Amino acid sequence: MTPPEQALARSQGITLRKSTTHRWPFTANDLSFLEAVANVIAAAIARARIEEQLRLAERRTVEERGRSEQAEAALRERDEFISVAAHELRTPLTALQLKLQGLEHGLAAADPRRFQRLEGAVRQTERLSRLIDRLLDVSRIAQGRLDLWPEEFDLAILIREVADDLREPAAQARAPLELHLPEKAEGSWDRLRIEQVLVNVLSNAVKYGAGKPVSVKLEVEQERVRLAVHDQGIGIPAEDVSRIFGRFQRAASIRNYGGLGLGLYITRHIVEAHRGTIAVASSVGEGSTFSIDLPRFGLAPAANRNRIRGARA
Amino acid sequence: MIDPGCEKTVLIVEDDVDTSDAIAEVLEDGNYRPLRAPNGAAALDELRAAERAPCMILLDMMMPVMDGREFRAQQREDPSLREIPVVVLSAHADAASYAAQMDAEGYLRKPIDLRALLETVERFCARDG
Repeated sequence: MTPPEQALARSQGITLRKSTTHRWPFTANDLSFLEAVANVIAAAIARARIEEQLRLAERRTVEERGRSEQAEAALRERDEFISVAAHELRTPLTALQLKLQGLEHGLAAADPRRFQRLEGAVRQTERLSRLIDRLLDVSRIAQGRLDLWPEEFDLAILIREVADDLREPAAQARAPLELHLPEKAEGSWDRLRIEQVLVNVLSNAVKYGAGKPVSVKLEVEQERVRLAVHDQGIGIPAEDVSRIFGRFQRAASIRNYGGLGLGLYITRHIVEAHRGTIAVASSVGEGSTFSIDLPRFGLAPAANRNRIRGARA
Repeated sequence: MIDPGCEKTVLIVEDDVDTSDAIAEVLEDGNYRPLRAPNGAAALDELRAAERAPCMILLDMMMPVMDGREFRAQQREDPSLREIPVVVLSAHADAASYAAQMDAEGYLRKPIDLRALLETVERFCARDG
């Protein structure tokens, strides 16, 4: 059984007690000495607790840093893998595409029916090739290596060309593209990259446009151009608007709409690399408007682009 | 009118047999004479043994034994070979900057488009050989 106790000195939660079964008396000096002892012990314990907390915090920081380094390494590995895989996929695709195109070339006049079927096969290889390009773009963006080759050209002409290429899918989706373009919209941009942006934004509008006309409007100012692509389709819920420009993100259901969820992510990076901005205004069931704002001469044309570009496939 | 100087000969330097086959086939269909080498070293041997220089070289980048970059460096050091135009073949997104760094005449991105290939080859084979 524990003997009864009497509290003698207290300090910061530390209590020194004396057993009441002991009979010798404590003087005032004894008590103040004991109080000092209680203070020292309390201070030591408090210091030990703080040190323990610091050690724990430090260990947590080290662990967290380790985890985030591991996560970064995993991301790096994934991006490197995507880049290597895309390269490896392209090699057999090169042979396949050339062989099909070669057959198509020789067949055109002789056998229109077979030619048409081959044409379909070639289109599929081109589609595969575009998917691989997107994967490569993502790994380039992740590695901060999205290089631009600016040259001076007329954006209005390029929009017309892209809209022409999309005429058939737009007609099939019953979402014709209505162009409102100025006579000229010259500037210095990377033609292939801007074409990629246009294809993405216009084909999205056709894809999600619910079979209604899509308006494509370009305005030219002294320093900038503004493109607004407006569809009257399914729209994007407010809670999804902020994430549609992210990687592997999509607002529409994967059950109804295919795709890698990379188009707008790549588009945003291309626009930003041109020192421009992209934004979307949308309401569900009414449609979406994607607005792209680009400086006209923000980038100086690349020096030897023309010579090198000549043979680009 | 195609200049007969280089006799419509094109050297394909490519290690992937299927790709090299496919390029050779379509060039033959276009009445060109494809020569083939599986890497840079074999290509240098082929060029030095040839009686007449080809109109152009289609050069892959990543190859065993000797890659495209090393081949180009050695080709440029050899006065008898340095004038032969080179077009780089690459699946890499940086094909343009590779071609610029190597001072090549152009590049074709893999997968190669048939029309772009034929236009490129015709351009160089139509030059004075």
